[in-house]
Amino acid sequence: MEELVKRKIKEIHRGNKNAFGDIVEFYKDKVFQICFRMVGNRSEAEDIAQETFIRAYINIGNYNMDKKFSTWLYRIATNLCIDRLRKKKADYSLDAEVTGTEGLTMYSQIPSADPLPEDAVAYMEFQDFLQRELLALPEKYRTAIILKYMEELSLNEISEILDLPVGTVKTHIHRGREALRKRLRHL
Amino acid sequence: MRQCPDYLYEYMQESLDGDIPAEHDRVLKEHLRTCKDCRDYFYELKRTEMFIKSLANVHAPDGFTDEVLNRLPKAAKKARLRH
Repeated sequence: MEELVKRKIKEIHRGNKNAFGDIVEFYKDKVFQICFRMVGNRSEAEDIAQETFIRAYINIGNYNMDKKFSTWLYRIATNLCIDRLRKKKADYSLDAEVTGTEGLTMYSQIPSADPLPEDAVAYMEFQDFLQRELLALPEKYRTAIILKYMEELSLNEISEILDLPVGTVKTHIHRGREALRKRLRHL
Repeated sequence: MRQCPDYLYEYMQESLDGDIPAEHDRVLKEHLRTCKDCRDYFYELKRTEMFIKSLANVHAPDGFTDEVLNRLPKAAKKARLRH
């Protein structure tokens, strides 16, 4: 995968824009997933995910081929998410900070002519509930938890993406897990 | 709730990280055999982890790639290609 991506990047350097389309195809779901879990809102996540790829394209010359491309790309994505969250925090009062998801996010994607069975609705509601719990975590814990569990990245990779020592990443994951345990234990 | 020495909770976290030294693992397992509170606590942590993993994979919206390509500037900034 990484080798293929590196070949594509060389093509981009030679001016082949379509090669970048392939890269977007490879990574769009992963980047969108990070953004969605970070901000909890599909349209905002889409916006940030697009911005991530546009920035990657513009700055492709800064990407060091010795490193994993995904690490570089996820770093752009998480930084953009954190910027967005901080801007939001500055814009709204503190008590509006955790507004939750847009409600039944997945459910609303499905045509209403095709009603979901009751247990599927319950499942969607549970997913939304978990997403809200994730959004309630302090940003730094949430970021580490998302990279670990959504993308199944190693502690070393997370440490590179976030530019934090591995020990700090561990601490953030431990505290995030402990905070979620407290909130989910009665389920 | 947390009545046992702090290091035991740290060992649980290390165990979840898949990065627990053999000695810590031995001490933790030994302790879990005799302490129900810690067994419950560890179970809650594992369950939490399972919930988080269960968050369905979301997918980028339709037309995402085309949208990105349409928004790209004419040419990427020329910069040194590093090897």
